[in-house]
Order: sequence, then C-alpha cells, then structure tokens
Amino acid sequence: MQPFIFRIVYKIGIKNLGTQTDIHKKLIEASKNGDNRARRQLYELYARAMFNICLRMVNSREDAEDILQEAFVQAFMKLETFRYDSTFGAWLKRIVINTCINALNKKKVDLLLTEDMYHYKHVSDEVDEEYMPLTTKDVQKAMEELPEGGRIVFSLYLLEGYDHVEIAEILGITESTSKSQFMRAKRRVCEILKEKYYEKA
Amino acid sequence: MRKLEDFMRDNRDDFDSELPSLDLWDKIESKLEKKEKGKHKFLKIASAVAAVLVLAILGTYMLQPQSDNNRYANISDPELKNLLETEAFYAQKVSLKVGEIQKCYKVHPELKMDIENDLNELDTMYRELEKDLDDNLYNREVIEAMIQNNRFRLEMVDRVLNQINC
Repeated sequence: MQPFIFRIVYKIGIKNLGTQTDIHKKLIEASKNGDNRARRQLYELYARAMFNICLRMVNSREDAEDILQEAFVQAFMKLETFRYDSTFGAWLKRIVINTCINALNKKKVDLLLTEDMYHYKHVSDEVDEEYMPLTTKDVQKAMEELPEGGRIVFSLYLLEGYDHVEIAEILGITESTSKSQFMRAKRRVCEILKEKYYEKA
Repeated sequence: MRKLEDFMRDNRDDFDSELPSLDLWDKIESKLEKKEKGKHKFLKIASAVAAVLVLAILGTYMLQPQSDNNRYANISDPELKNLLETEAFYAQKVSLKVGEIQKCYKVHPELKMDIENDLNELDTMYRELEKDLDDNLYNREVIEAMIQNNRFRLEMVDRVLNQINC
C-alpha cells in the first residue's frame, strides 16, 4: 500500500507540480503578510518591466500608469494564491497583461484580430544594417504606429516571450490568427523603418 | 544583413526604456490600504455570520435524537459502531476534497488523467472492501482496511491540493 501511494505522489510531483524556487521568496512571503516595505521593494523590482509592457499594450502613458496601478493592487490582493508554480515575474506579467486587455475592452478598442485571408508565411525581416542601422528608439516608434491588435501580438511574441499558442489563449484568438497578425506586424515595422530611413536620407 | 527579430532579441532590455511616475507607489499603497480595510470589515461580518450559523446547526443537531439514517445504526457493539463512524467520517472528507480537486481541472487540465487514474485505482479497491463489508458486517479487518484506504486517498488529495494553485 505504502509504495503505491508514494509512486502516485512522486509521479504527480515530477510531471506536473515541479515548483520553481523564486529568488524573491522572502519578499513575497513578507508581502503576503502585509509588510508594506517588502511590497514596495517588490514593486520597485518589477515596476519598470511591467510599465513598459503596459505602454506597448495600450500605447498611452496615462492609461499605462492607471493600469499598472490597478494590476499591482490586484496582484497584492491575491498574492496568497501565488504558490511558486511559476516565477513571480511570470505570474505578475499575466495579471498585468490581463488588466491591459480588460482596459482595452472597456474602452471598446477593437483589436481587429481577425484571421487573414491568406497567411504571410515567409516575411523577410532582413535589414541591411550597413545601409540602415537599427536603433531601439526607431523600432519602438515604428511599433507605436502599428494597429492595436498587431502591436500587441508583435510585442507579446518578440518582447514578452510568449509563443503563438499562449498568445492565442491570452487574446482569445486562434493560433493561426496570432501567427498571421505577427507576420503582418513584422512586415509593417520593417516598412516603416525603411520609409523613415529614406525620409531622413 | 540582420534580422529585425534578432536585433530585438539581442537588445531586449533596451526596450524597457520608460519609467512610471515616481508617485505611483503611493497611489498603490493607499488603494491597498482602503481595500484591506474593506476586506477586514467584510471578514468580521462574515465570521460573525458564520459563528451564528455554526451555533444554529450545532443546536439543532444536538437537540435532535441521534439520527438513524446510518445504514449500520442497528449494530449494538460500540467498538464496531465507532469504527464504522470513523470510516464514514473519512469517506465524507475524501469526497469533499476530491470535489475540490475536480474544480481545479479547469485550471490544470493536465492533472485530470493522472489523478483520476490513481484515484480510480484506490476507488476500485475501496468498492471491493465495501462489498466485503456487506457480506460480512462484523469484520473489523475490512473496516480497518477501508479507513486505511480513505486515509491514503486523503493524504494524496491533500498533497495534490497543497501543490497546485487554482
């Protein structure tokens, strides 16, 4: 009887429940107990990254700050449910992204995430840097010009590190829509960069 | 030639270039304070209500004569009765917890197969014991085995519940 039980627990433990140790465990535990200094430290550690996610999602500083505020309040309110199944950063990021999506929905922003008539299967995003050096600022500016949905898929994929399956789940779209939106956005960014470059030159 | 994707991945950190206003933390802190006060108030009211309910239930239960809906109620041996009651207690606890885990399947669908398989194995064993008990009501060993079986299931579901987050 005994070994049988251990086998079960062992199996479950390895396959599904592997817990990750979190480097900020002490801060997280203190925050769970309502320690404001620990909460502030956690905020300081993650505010910048999370704020930039918000900015890319909603494209407005003012909205991004409101959303960041709300997301952190929510995260601290339900911190007890965080059990180290993922890193704290990944957990927080999902809350931030969901808060962004809710805010966009509230504002009735149509993400226009419909499936394309055809897929942009192979979009070349090669840029000849010898003639056209890339800078982060230019890429950021080009991203700001993207339509809402495309910009969100583009940044979730390339900057937040989600794959198309995850993005599909987050945005409630199909995987192929995510892929085609990404390709379309990438092509558009390249186009904008080229236009800007030739304007300057 | 360089790919845009590679450029962005190589310079990932530079893309987090903006900073939120400095006073944002203060706003978060004061919002949290407000919400937590509200939460405490709610908890106080909720616990008061719960206390009254518990008292009411206990009261009605104690006022009533010992219920005889137990299918083994006509057993006179107190020791055996005790065992059966313990068994019933564990069985109820197990089914409650299994219910909790089943709620988690939505969040962790991958758990479903594994847990169900293992629980079913234990469940089949349990059913067999139950049959044995029906054949021979006074078999202490069978009841003890049932209790043991329930304990194992309880231990298992407890561990699972502790580890999953849903």
